[in-house]
Amino acid sequence: MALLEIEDLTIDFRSLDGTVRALYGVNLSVEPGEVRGLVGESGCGKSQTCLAIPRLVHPSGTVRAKSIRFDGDELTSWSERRMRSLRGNKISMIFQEPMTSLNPCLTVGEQLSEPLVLHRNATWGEARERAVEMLSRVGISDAAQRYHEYPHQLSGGMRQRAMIAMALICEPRLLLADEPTTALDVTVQAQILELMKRLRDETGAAILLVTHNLGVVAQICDRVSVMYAGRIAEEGTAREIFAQPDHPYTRGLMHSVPRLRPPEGTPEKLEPIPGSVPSISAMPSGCPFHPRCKYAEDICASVLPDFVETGPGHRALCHFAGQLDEKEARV
Amino acid sequence: MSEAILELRDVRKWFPITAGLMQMTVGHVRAVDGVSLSVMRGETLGLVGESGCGKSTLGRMAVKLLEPTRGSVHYAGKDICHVRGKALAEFRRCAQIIFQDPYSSLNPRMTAGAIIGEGLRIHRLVPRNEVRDRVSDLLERVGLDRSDFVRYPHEFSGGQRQRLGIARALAVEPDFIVCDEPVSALDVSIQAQIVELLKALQSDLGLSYLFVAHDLAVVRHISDRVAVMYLGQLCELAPRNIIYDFPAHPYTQALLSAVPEPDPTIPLRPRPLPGEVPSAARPPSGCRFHPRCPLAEPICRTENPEWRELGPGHFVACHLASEQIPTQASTEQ
Repeated sequence: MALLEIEDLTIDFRSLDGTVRALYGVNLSVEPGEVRGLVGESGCGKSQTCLAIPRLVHPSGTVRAKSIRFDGDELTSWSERRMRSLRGNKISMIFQEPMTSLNPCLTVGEQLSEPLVLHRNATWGEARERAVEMLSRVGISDAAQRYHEYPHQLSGGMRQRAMIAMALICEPRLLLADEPTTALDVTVQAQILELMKRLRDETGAAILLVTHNLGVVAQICDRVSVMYAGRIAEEGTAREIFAQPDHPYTRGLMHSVPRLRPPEGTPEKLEPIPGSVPSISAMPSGCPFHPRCKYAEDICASVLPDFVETGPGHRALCHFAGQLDEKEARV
Repeated sequence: MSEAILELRDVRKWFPITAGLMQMTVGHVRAVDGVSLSVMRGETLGLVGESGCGKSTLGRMAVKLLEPTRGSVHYAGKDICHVRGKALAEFRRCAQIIFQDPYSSLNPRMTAGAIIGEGLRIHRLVPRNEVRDRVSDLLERVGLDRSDFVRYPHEFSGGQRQRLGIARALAVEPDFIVCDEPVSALDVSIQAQIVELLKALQSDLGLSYLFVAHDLAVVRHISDRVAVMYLGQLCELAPRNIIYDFPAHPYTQALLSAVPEPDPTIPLRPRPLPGEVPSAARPPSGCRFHPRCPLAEPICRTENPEWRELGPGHFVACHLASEQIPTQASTEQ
């Protein structure tokens, strides 16, 4: 059984222009122990999807879902009090900017111990022992000393390690990681990715990884959902998505990323996706990607496509999914 | 690639650290600490390194937005550190910069037309009544609409704003542009648009770029030569295919091995890089990379490695580099 199953998640925001829809009926599932990637560009709704799970969407947003099932429980029917007992416990989060998501007035140790005291009825003494152990487990040297330091005394990479330690201290079943390496240098990013993989293997926690970096996705995710304009555009295993992308947007993304070691036959020019992401207050009719799509036909401007199954567990929201290669050859 | 359009000669930029009531100088952050580098006419020189390595400071000194503490900067053979008046104005016209953040680098109270036209007016490049036409041409050249003249920066998307920043830099018909992380703040699909625009402009107008960035894949795509910086100094410089395929400096090797490829069949195998970047106020003795270098030997702790040529156009600052090339080539196979 899936650890997390989201059905038909819709989020509306009130704004000066009236109500705008950020998510259009998103379905998403995460299996126990898997790393699930949620990829897309800014404004596509990937972070909101992630925030809706522990019910942390901004109050100006109206969240509706047919169901959000986590570990056998239906979260949509839970009280706020019950949700609090879940956050930082069975579901925890790490964010992009560790400096703004750590409390600057508390020591790293106090913040790290708090979930244990809150959720596990541990004494501060017990919690401290566990926190120091956790800090050294995520690769922070002199853990006992770091416990007493404030976030500003740590480097960016170390803060992110401390965030991860905090997220994992109650041994969550699900870790929500929203752009965890985006603010980090590439050498530190590589270390954090290794750390996340290792901790997943050791604790069996599933990870929902929100990112825009296709390299990170390719290296760590088992399955991937690509989002565009508030909808899932394509999903499948990482291998399939990268070997055989079936949505024109996914293809476009792959062609616009320069490679460090370009494989044989890579064209000298990148092939950018023309135009820009539509504003959520002015969504195009039909398929939201059609104004930027090089394969678009008349039907795309008027009819929203259904998901087309192109392989086991691999599906794309496109009228022509599975036929793109033929279309390419004809051009 | 014959003559250098811009030459940095042993430049240093030390920022004072002050403390106490009297604001006494108690030390210096050695942001750039002795770098010599030339940008050839018509080429793109990529400058990479991690945050805090001094690459942006170097870029700013190249266009005289910062004065070097020591060393000199030469543009087309002339020392520009001490120029004033007309000569300075002429340098400002020839050398431009494109900034990273298109949100904070455009004045929100000026229209697109005013932002782009400002340089034209200041340098009196076209008669007043032709400024508007010239700005419209520029807008079109960078892929915006001629009528965008009257719009304000907040009315544009991030990618469009970066186009606006490029049009602003191009307005005064420069020969040399420092691109300081021009695509890092942009979405993937927009990044490619801007990179291709910069390449097209270069081949049409014969521009020279100093392209400062931390994204190694983007730098490979756009650069002719690439320089790698670590803690205020250069560690390696080579034509791009040499540096990416046969990196000689252990830091370059570690940096390249840490980039995740967007292909699940190529696993990430980062070379271990222990510890953290030391403080630029108290750089290590000898080779600055030695405390983190897996190959460090006693000499690295005491002696600063000299900048030497390993192969044609391939420079490295490492005592041990020459012996590593064959090992590198054999492990890659």
